[in-house]
Amino acid sequence: MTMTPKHLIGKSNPMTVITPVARWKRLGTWLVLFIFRHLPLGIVKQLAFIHFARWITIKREDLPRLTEDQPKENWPYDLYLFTTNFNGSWDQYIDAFGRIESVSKGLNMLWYTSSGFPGPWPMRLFKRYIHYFEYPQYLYYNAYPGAAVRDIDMALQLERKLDDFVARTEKPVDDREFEVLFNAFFDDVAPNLGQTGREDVPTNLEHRAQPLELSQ
Amino acid sequence: MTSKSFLTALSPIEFRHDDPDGTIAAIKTVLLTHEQENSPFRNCPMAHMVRLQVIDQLTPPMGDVSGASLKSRYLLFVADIDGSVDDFLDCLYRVNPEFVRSVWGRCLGYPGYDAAVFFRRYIHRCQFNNPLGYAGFPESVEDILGALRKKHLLAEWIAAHQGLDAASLQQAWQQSRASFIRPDTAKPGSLK
Repeated sequence: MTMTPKHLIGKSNPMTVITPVARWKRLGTWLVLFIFRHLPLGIVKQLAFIHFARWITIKREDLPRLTEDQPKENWPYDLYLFTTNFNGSWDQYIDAFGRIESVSKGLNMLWYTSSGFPGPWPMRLFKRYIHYFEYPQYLYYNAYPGAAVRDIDMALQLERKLDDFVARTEKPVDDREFEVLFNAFFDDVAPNLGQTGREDVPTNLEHRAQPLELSQ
Repeated sequence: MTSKSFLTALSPIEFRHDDPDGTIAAIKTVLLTHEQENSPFRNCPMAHMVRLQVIDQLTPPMGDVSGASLKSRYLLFVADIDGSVDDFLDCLYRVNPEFVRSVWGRCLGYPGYDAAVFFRRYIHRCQFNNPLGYAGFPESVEDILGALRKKHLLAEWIAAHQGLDAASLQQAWQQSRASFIRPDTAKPGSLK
């Protein structure tokens, strides 16, 4: 794979995986995605480290051909595109998908029609499969790079409590009473005050390199 | 709560193997120099996460020795946004038309006219719809940044006013209270 410079800061990492799907499995892929669109995906929310994710099938004949001189593609497979934005390391992310039973079952269904998919277990083969079909990003943008999913969840919970406290303290009260109120508020929100910003150890940073094609 | 859109688009860039005009390298350079702090998406308030990548070639299944390959190279544009795709594309063109021209303007089939409507139409031609999308939060970018800002302000306030007696604490709170109602949020794309 071409070595690509990355400049990833903050707590979220992107991943793009494009797996091939044989044409005769097209209906099966459509059916799986149709079923999952009507499922709540609550287990994904419980994992609490995925900001956004998508699965989409691109039929081979739908690859855009926008000029007459652009040759027609004869790529023999449909493209099954998976993009995700997650927190933590790549290994932690893939581990979670393989080690949690309900998640790994769903994963098995979602990638079942991809050619050569070995299943979520054993983990070594699954990781090798994902890594084999992974594609690097050249531009990645995150509107809140210093915040993990848990940070955002904590902040949203805190905001509700803070707004309530602000409303309750609109008028001054007896100092002792205020102290009791404030201490109760602080005890309630203390777990929500985790720090956001740059990670201490940039585990997701890769060393800079200049690919040959950029040295023209 | 805001509706979310999952934009997925593939635009053909170049089909000539040796890329004689240096189009691929030029696009890659533009992308690499417009990441995070320098990104035009910072001025698109509806953009949660965006990625752009050049697909030079697709990987066939393991064991496929047929030699199958793509004839063109493609630009993959993936964005997770609030609201509609059209509003996002219009915003992107409005805040940085030069970025749009230097990226999509170099792609095959991009019209030779300068206006947001042509950019929008071009992306529609390249777009793939109906993904299975997952969003961790229903809140908008503004809501999330607002909540993060309040958290940051409160943590700072508490650290600065530790150890005060009850009267001083209430006095300090009454002076600062209004700043927690609608604080200025950080610009999207900031680390804080």
